[in-house]
Amino acid sequence: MSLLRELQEIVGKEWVISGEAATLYSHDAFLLHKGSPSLVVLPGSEEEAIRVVRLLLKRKERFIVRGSGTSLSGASTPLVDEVVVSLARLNRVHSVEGFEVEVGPGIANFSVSKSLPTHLFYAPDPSSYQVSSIGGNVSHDSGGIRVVKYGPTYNSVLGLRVLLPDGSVEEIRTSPLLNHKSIFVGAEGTLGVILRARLRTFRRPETTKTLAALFDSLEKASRAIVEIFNRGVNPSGLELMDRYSIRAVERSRFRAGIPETEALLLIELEGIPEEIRRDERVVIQVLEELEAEVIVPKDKEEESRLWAARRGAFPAMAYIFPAYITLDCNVLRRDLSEALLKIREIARKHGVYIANVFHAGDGNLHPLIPFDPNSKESMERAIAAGVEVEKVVIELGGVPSGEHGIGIEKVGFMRRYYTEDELKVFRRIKEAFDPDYLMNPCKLVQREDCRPASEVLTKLWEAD
Amino acid sequence: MTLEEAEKEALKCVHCGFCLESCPTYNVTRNELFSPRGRILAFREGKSLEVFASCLFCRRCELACPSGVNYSKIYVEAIRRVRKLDVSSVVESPKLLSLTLRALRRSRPYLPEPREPLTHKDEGAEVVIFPGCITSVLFRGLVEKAVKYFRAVGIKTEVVNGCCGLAHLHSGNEEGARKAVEKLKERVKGRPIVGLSSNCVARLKEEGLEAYDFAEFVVKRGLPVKGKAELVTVHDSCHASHFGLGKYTREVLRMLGAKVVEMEEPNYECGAGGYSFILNDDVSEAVSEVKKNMIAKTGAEAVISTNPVCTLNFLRKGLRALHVLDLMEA
Repeated sequence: MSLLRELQEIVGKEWVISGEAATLYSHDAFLLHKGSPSLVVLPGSEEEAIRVVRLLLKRKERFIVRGSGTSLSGASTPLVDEVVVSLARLNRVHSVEGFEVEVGPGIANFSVSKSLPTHLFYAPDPSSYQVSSIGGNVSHDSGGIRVVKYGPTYNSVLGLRVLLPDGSVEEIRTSPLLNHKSIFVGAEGTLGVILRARLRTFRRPETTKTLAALFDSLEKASRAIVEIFNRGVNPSGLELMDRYSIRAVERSRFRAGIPETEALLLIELEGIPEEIRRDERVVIQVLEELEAEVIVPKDKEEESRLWAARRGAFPAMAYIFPAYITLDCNVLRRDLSEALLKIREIARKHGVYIANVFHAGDGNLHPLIPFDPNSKESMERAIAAGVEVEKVVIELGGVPSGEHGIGIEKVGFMRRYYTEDELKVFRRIKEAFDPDYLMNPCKLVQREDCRPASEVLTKLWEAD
Repeated sequence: MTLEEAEKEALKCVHCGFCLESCPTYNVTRNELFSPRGRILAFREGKSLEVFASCLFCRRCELACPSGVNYSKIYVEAIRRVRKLDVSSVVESPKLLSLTLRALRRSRPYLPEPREPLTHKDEGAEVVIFPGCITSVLFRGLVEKAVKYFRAVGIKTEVVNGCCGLAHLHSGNEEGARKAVEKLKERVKGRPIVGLSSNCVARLKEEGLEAYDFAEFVVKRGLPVKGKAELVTVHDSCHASHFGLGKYTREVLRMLGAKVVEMEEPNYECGAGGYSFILNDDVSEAVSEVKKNMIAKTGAEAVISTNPVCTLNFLRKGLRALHVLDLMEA
């Protein structure tokens, strides 16, 4: 029987997509490459998902697992005509108990918090939280604004149910010795299929307060970021928007009346009123010492508008160009100033517009480089600038990816960032789990048959 | 509007996927082919346009899209190439509409009995009452109530039984939609229009006419209302949501002394999708079921729906559905 027929027998005819319609699963939110899935299959339950994957493994079919397809690095884009297995239908909440919630991988991040009693919430909040799936969040170790206080997805994962490449299903839990949970978080689906995630939840803070500050220099803003922590305040949100991202946002529907300035710092404090009062005093003092213009929003509505402007920064870029590269390199907080200035230089040198809007609290930069998708030249300039930004960050001792994953976007930087020995270890781990390279074959650890499939990828992957 | 305009809109899409969770058909299938993002991609690539057939044209995706893509423009261009059933000529003619509904009624007993549209014209009528095609034929009682109400508050009215063109747009028949509105404009002669079908009102507003939803007119003109106090929940019909018409309905309910208990998502698609519900469409039924559960959870005695197609779908699901006018005393 053909693979198509066998899959149809498991999930039902209407849940296997072939031919022309399969191209609607050709890519995610990473726009530089479109794959061509050979088939797309949507299992409707954990049992069906296990049967589907075991069938593909038995037939040695290469496949890629996909949640909501919102990866910014291309982690869910098929590169070698793999079968796409969408787990979007596995979106149940299995249990809510104390500070734990167990969910299917296809559930949207936002829906997890919605399913909890009102005094609890699920902390990781990547900007895509309204649609990105938990499976995807776990596979990318997604971050968000709250990372500065709650850590990335890794800190919220208590356990995973994983279907391994040998067909067995394992329950992975946090363990004090040789913690295997860490292997699957951020593995981008290359080591196993996540069937279920047990997540930890937190108590909602009694109250929150937002402060904003306008700086006339990136350097002063960067110093403020470091000093806030030095004085004992750990905000629950600490974001920076530079001149160019402010410009983009103010031209979009997310405008909030932010005056154009070198840097805007958005700070969120949370806790009981006493804590907030104390933290607010300390923060304002730091801001004033660094000559910032402090803005205290007068009500919750103004606070929401400012945060909506921050969250709208990426899509606001679409008003300038309909395509952009979102890098997501991470530097130490204390190196932010140098990194930002170097990025400005790179933008000037390549004649591109680079907007910086990012999680200042943990040094996770997002230099957004828009380009015209209809102009090869424009795309190449953007890529060249991006590659140089990543190089500069690595030279500063930073890492190529803070939260969006390596995917397709940052494959080229693995060689630059890791040593030959480290890459060998990754290869050995991959081959211990998936010797035939069937699961998401061309991500993280690549074999020779993952040659760049296009000119664009070639440029992106040279990085040297 | 041209293919070019639609293509321009499609190019604005950065494939971020934010529209997925707002789309009722994606919500019940979890399948990219039933999502706005998938449909837009199909349009851009000129392939698999049949994915537009399952779209209920609720336009919620437009509210969720951070890039401001006008999905409606894309839908209209695409659906023209796909939709086989075009009901616009039927809804334009009250006679044809009545005949069709009478025939459908045999296997769909929830449909009210079709009646002749009400004709009414006060001398020197300053305000036009626009029932909309379905209301004029299936809810004639509502039109009578509206006429009576305006008489009681001293406003002279003329009932104009015309077509707003939404059904035409739904099938991609832009030309027909425009003509319908032109015909209406001729008969309205610049007078303010008070609509009894919220989605029609939204359509006319989008065409630049001075059109008000009934509750909106009452609130904006500061008219008095008197009526029954009931425990109700409010449904915000799709197109009407784009103009925030729901807040006027709620204001009038408040003035009537009714108690409103909100459902989880008042503007969640009712499931009708124009006429999909009549065709026993699976996806439409799944969406209708989700909405029904939302309504049932509120414990309300009735759902207030100021759009007739939504009302019909609610009746089909065994719910008690009323227009705001139904709560008002003469």
